[in-house]
Amino acid sequence: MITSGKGGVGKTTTTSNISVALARAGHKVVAVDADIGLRNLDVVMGLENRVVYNFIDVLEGTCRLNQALVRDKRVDNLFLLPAAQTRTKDAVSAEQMEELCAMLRKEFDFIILDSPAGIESGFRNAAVGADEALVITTPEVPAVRDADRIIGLLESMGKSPIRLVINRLRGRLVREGEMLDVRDVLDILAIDLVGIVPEDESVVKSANRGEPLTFGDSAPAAHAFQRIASRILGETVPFPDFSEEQGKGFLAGIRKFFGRKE
Amino acid sequence: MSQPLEHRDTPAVSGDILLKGAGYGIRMIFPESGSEDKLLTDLEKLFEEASLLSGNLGVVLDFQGRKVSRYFIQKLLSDFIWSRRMKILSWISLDGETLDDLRSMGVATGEPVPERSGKKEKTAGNALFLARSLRSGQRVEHEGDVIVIGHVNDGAEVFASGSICVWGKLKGLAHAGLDGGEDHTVVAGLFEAKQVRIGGKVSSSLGSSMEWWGKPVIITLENNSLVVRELKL
Repeated sequence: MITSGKGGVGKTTTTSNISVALARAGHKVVAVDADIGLRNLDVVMGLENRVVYNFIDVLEGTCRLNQALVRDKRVDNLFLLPAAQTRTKDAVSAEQMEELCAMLRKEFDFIILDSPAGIESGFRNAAVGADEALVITTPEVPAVRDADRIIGLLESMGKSPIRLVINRLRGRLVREGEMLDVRDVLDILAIDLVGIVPEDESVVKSANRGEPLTFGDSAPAAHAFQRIASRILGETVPFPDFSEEQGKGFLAGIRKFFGRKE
Repeated sequence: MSQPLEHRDTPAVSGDILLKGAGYGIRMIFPESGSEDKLLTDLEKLFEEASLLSGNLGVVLDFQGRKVSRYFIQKLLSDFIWSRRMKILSWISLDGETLDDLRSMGVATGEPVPERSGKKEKTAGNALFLARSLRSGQRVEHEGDVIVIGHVNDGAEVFASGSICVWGKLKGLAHAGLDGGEDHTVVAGLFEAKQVRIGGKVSSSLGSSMEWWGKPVIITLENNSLVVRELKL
């Protein structure tokens, strides 16, 4: 499951991009929008006009699972299971979510659950069905505190491994001491890091266009999400140092020219 | 100094050692002037006259603003306290150097709390030992002392009727002396908490501008104020 505690830190973006990256690597993937009543994943993945049924319809027996799954035509083996927009989080129970995940396990290599923000029933229901958790945080004190809360809850539910994605890291602010750096966040949260995603304008554009960045290869955030997918697949991928200038600016150019690292 | 005790109105500035009855036992008030030799002689006389100083009655030694030498403290210990089996509840001093010496001895230096009748001392033999960190939203409440071998993260809470010791970082809330006991302590391996409480007292305006921020500290309640000191071991 992809979760965070705090809203707006990038759960849905991470879900869509990692799902695409895993599917592009040849795995059969379903991205499940577990945010009942506030569904977004269909929009971010650009599939909203193809949504007919949702997973509550499946659980209530209105349709079969295959009817509710939306196949992404841009890549083989990628599916979306949408949430209901007109229902509330009380529409499903923890047992029903477990039942749904059991159905999906038979069909897919990876089930990526996009959890709602918060620690209430929506989060708990999503967590019940999940084996592993990716906790997303931005390097900001309130987000880190909420991530810490979520990690405590996931630990008490026996989820393992619980791994961390630090999203929207701004190298310049870290260098100026205005933003928590990766070490600060890891020091507080004390779980394994699976990815660092730099702040990247193209994330906003891609969400509006409904094209996850990992369909292309050019954006820095796309590379970051691809590295996360590779690490999930068990590969050892080094972490780039985002606190350094990423090849921008006059001084960085000179440093690059002389092959010097600070 | 806001010392609320009644005998401050008639301090033993010079002359004799004063004995005052108190809820906890006897308060022995030393004059602020006069030689230490004279005090030792006076003490001898006092013990000959006042047999109640030996035995089970608790005694508080109040040096007021007097600077007390280490030699005098040693003589007090060897010739009176140990040899006569005095039960010393606390050593009180308003002199900074003397207070530091007393603290380095590891003796109690705060105002004693009268024993609550019918209520057992909760901290004795009742410590909760946690060998893990507390994450945001996790709360520990315990009748007795709490020892955390780990961090207390921002948003986590520890409530203890006794003292609290955090080996790692204290960023969350620690409330020692939850039942109102003011002689309890909060110790942190690294202090970065925005608030700390002992008894009924709540800290205010803690922040990174404090010189002991991010350092090991010991926090006590003295003269109705929370006092934070860097812990140097």
